[in-house]
Amino acid sequence: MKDLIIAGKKFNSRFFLGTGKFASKQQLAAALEASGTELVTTALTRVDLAAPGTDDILSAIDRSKVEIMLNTSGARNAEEAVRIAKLGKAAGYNWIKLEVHPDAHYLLPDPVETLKAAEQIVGMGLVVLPYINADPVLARRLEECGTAAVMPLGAPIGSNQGLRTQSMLEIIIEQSNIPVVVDAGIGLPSHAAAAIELGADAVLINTAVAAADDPAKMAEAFKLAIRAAELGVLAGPPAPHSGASATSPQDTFDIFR
Amino acid sequence: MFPELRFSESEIRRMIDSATPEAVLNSLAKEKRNYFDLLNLISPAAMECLPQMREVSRKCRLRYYGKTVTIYAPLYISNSCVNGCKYCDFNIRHKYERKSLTLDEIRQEADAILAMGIDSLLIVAGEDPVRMSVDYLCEVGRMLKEKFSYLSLEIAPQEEEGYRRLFEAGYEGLTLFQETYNQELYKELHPVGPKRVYDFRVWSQLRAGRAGMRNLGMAFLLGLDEWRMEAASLAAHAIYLQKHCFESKVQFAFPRITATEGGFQPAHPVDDADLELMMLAFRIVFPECGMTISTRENPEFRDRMVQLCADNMSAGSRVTPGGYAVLADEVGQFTLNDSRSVEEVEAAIRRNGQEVVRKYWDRAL
Repeated sequence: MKDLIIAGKKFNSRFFLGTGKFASKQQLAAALEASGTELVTTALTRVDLAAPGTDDILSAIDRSKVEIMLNTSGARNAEEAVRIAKLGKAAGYNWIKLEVHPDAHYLLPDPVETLKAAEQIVGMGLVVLPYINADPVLARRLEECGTAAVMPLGAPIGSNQGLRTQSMLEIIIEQSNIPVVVDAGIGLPSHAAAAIELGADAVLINTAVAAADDPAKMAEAFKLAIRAAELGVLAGPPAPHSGASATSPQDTFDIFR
Repeated sequence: MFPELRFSESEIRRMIDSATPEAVLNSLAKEKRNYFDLLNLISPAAMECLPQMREVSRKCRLRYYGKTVTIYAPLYISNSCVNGCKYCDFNIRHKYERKSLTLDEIRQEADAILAMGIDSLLIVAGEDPVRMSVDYLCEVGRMLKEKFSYLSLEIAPQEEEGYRRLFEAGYEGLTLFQETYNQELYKELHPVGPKRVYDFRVWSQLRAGRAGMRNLGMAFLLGLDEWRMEAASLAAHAIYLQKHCFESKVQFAFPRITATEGGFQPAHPVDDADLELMMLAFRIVFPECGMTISTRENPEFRDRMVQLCADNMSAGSRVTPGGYAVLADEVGQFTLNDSRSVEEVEAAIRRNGQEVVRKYWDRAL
């Protein structure tokens, strides 16, 4: 398993965290601490870039430890996403999580507008991580246009359903030359571990942590699961096969002796 | 009934009345629910399952909206109205001095609301095509857009082109109550004025969605007709909008009508248990849709509903034009039962383990 490097920056944790849906600034800060994350995402719609420090999200994040990726949530088309990216850039945010979701109910990403926006925002010199449906061809197109990673969904956002798109995720992981971050749909630590075992470079989680009864404990659970899966991959697991294979080889009992 | 609903009133009634507690529990156990589940969940049989419904609703709310509550304030800019709605204090037949705010007065009101810590505004006006023209409302929108992150409208129905201009002027959403889906009763309650035309009103959200409005608020007035039949229409209307305006989010409100200045008494009052049941049912069947808890309800009920199902509430509301800064003691549209300040509402939300979200949109969008 390769080190996780995105746009030249090395990440020690494969756990990225969303900052929405928390009950308080204190809960968010505690979850951030417990998660060990080094990359979080925050919606422009929730923060006031003109008056930094006045809102509860940005003031809970220690930017010396954690990179903030501003997301374009709310954008229905490329034009709106580009507008948010420009505002972010002007306020000193160079990492953009590109989300274009005209679908108001499932917040599913628009492939056409996402690609269009990615071309423009990459052209502005920003680090772009696009949220996409698990579409292997779209992932290639985005890679060609210079995005720093791709972030396919495991299931509809906030649904906690796990890796429902597994077959397509496998193809994206197989073909991608840039990091693949599974974003959306992960509901349990075991789902996150499964994504890492599948070969994903990282996972991005929000609802499963923020909506848990104890967000900090859940953040720690995800951290441990993701680290366990990473170690498992690094340890080189034996391939599964259909026959049984005894743990204590029995050839010492040779009945023909 | 909602015109596109393919079942007759008697068929809907039969489906609702024949629901059993077992059917209700089956609907609750499903991962994805449909229109018929809604009929089960608003049925008399569902009342027995209220505790289970609370739990499922709370989980749906948590999954889609997390532990946050968005807050807004209404800004009434005119109580001048050419309609004769029998249940409304703005009714043209009520003789009192009407007030339509000037741009300067609106600015004063807006600044008073901003000072309360509110960042999202609902602009409300009676139907007055002269004083509250699309041109004027656009001017108001452009001015307020500089001050607030999110603006929406509760005004008379407009043509699609009017909605498009309002969207471009800065309004992102629309709230429009059908009042009643019962077409006969609608005629009776709206004897004069442009509002008499049921069809023009019922297709307003569709026109607004086509014009680009991101949020489509809808409701009926609880108390005018049997709430279960109205709820069946509301749900059908919502599904219709979801299928035809996939880029817009449907938002529900459940306004209970109260007795007015003119002495109107609701014929079918809705009690707390019925209102709660209906709100839970809509949250469970439409987990991703917005839901506002009405300004008309009392603090205890509002605080409880915002934990179980609603995701959005007003705070510090005044329902008279000029009520925040310009004047006092004018006639409001209805009686407020929650007179708490913004701070008090926010403190209650926090006490219940939820975060107050003042900013949930951005004027850049």
